[in-house]
Amino acid sequence: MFADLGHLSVIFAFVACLYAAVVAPLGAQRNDDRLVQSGRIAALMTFPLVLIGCLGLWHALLTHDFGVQYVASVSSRATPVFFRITALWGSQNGSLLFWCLIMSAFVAAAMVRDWEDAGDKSLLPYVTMTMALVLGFFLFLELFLANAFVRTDFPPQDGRGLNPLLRHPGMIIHPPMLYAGYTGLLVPFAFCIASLITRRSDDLWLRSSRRWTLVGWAFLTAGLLLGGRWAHDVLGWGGYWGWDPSENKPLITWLIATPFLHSAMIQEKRGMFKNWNVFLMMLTFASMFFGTAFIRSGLLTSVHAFAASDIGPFFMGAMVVILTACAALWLTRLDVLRSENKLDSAFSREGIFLIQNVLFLSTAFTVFIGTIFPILSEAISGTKITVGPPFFDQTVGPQLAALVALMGVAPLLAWGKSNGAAVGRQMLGPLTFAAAVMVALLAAGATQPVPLLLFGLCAYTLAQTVMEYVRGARARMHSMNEPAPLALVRLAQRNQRRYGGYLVHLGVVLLAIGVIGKGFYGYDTITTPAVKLNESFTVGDYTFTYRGIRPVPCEFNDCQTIQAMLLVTSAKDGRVLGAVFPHRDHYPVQQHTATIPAISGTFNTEVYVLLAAWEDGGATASFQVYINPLINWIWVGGIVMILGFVVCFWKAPERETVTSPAVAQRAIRAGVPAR
Amino acid sequence: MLRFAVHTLRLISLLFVVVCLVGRPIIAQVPAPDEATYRIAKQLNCPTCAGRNLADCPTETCAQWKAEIKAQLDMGKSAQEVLDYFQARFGPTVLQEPPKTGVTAPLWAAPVGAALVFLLAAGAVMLRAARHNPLTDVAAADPAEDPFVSALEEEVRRNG
Repeated sequence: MFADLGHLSVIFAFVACLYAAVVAPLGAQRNDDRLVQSGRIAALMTFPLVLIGCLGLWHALLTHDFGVQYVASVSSRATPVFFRITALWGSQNGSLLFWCLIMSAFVAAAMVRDWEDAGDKSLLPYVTMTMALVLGFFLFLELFLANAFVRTDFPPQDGRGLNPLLRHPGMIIHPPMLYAGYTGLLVPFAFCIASLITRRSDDLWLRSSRRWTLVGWAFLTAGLLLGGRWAHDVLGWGGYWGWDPSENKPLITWLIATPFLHSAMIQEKRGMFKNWNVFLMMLTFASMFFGTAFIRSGLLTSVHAFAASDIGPFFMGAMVVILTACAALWLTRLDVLRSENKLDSAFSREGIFLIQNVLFLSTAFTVFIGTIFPILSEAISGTKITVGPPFFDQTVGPQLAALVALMGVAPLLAWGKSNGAAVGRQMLGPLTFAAAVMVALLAAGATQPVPLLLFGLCAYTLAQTVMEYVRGARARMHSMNEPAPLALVRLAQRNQRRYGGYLVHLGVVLLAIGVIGKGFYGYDTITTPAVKLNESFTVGDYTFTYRGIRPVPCEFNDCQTIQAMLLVTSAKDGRVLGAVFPHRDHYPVQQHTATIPAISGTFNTEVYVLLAAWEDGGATASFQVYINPLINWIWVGGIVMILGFVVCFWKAPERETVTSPAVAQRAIRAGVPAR
Repeated sequence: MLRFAVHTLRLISLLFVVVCLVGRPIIAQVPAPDEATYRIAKQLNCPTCAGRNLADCPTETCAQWKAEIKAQLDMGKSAQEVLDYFQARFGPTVLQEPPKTGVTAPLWAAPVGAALVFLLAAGAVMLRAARHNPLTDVAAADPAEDPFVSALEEEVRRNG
């Protein structure tokens, strides 16, 4: 009953989209503000309407309304309440509805926020139109091709239950985060399109887009990291990243949105790269759309493409239409987007941003080609060739290393032109630090040249980024007589984007250290021969003593768990460190076995134990052990990146004006253009 | 005689199937590979676990593959020979790392080519810029290094 009400509500949302897409631009053409407002309100209303749809489905999930096919396919009477709620995005049809919900939330937010904030409202009718069209497309898919509300005449007694892989806390927020990342990027895209339609040459669209892109970017980052954490905890492969198509897809979008955030600065500061920014924004959106199409249409098999169906052709059709429309729109506006300034010198912030931009794009291209190669090879030669992690590690790795290096140089370069000697002087300290770190690592026995160099690179960039804060804070301490902590806070407050950005850089470096540690020093082994009861084996600094296996109550009530018990002692002094319990969960209904790791060790060295097999009721057992050095730095780095975003995004109190004449004088000497 | 043997074999296999079905423990036990097999399995794709390597995949099809690897190793084949065997039988798609030659050569060439082309294009843009504006003496202070100056710069831009 409530589900049908929800269904009806989603149909209304679809109609509202169509209405908004027609009325808002019509109002702009006729200069009729009432029509524009009407379109705006229609777009705004999509959010509550889709929300009612979701509530309807949630109601069906919570009340075991197995007459609704979707409910029967993702939940059962045994499914706990909590997972009946998250089951909304547990499979294709429901997750598409949930996707629409988040997208409509962004549409509504833009309709409220940008409308109230903007002085110049000329873009907004077209923003409304673009967003309503895209949201309308997804609602169309939901209603006509992947309807989550479809009922069956013969309701089953019980449902199938939620996919066991999705029963992890990470899955509660990972998909919503990714969806928010993706759909959040619709807003800046809409501003870009609106700017092209209205033939604007200024950076009005960028001012809104930059902020919204940052929001989408932050959600994507969080989603990617949570996805990694989930894979690490549940999939039992010891790692955090498997270069799986459904991981690559958001990564590609991330790799395009990130250079956009940087090159948008060039347009704001120097009025350059206008075409480039439009191109990047369109590419960001296209990658989002294309990736969604690929995963959702089931073209690419993946460990966690839970949501595959036959909506592919529609996606592809829409993709062609969107790309053609974008290209046509852009090509007819090339003359409007001419640069206001010329690139003065390659040795400048703009110059290095350009290099950074193309490197990001070639990295994105690399991930893209590796991801679609199976399809390409199948189309060309008839055999589907799998591309495994080694390809990505070897091709993407060096490009990411180059980007880390750029992060250590770019902040030193000035807009316009830079002074080589000054830059060299500023590099000296961090370079010394990097050399010291490398010597220390060598002394500690890290002799492999490649990771040694990479750690050195990270140390350099880390020191350089920290120095940015030190230099800024010092300047404040001298000129304002502020104590160090206050100077640091004020510094960040006065230029949130800049210092928030550097915090993100710091996070990236920490993350890179984790990636290098795990990648070069991580290893795994399987116990050979199988371990007998009460027998011990040693991996790294740890000795494990096998104490048997036993069936234990499963975490959920539709599975059976076999748990192994291992005593952990220090291999050095025999001290007892504790016990670990790796286990296997078997789900008879879904015919699925999950190998759940036991994670122990220290912050810097994680020990990840899997129960690989056992024989004779546990008389012998085999274990897979992963030693993951520095892997925890990845999560810490991720948290720092999100903190950086918060610093960038937090609405600061009013800016204080520069009053010191000395500062003004210095500024004039530095040749700041007074326009 | 032959017929008898065939019958016996059929009976045995039937029995085997029955035992497998009835005597199945609550969680299927899969024999664990030894370290050498495991190393090789790490380099192969699993036919039943999409996106995971053979060693990390717990399915029974994969167990058969691992048994095959072990059998070949026991016959005295080297690791490379085993990998070659699998490649000859299933094509390059079976390898975790696609070969840098043959059908998968373009895959490896593409990223290198893209990075080169992109960087060359950026280089060309900058070279042109450098030719148009020969480097003049740079102002003494560097606005990027002083947050106050960049704040001021932004203010000037905003109000100017």
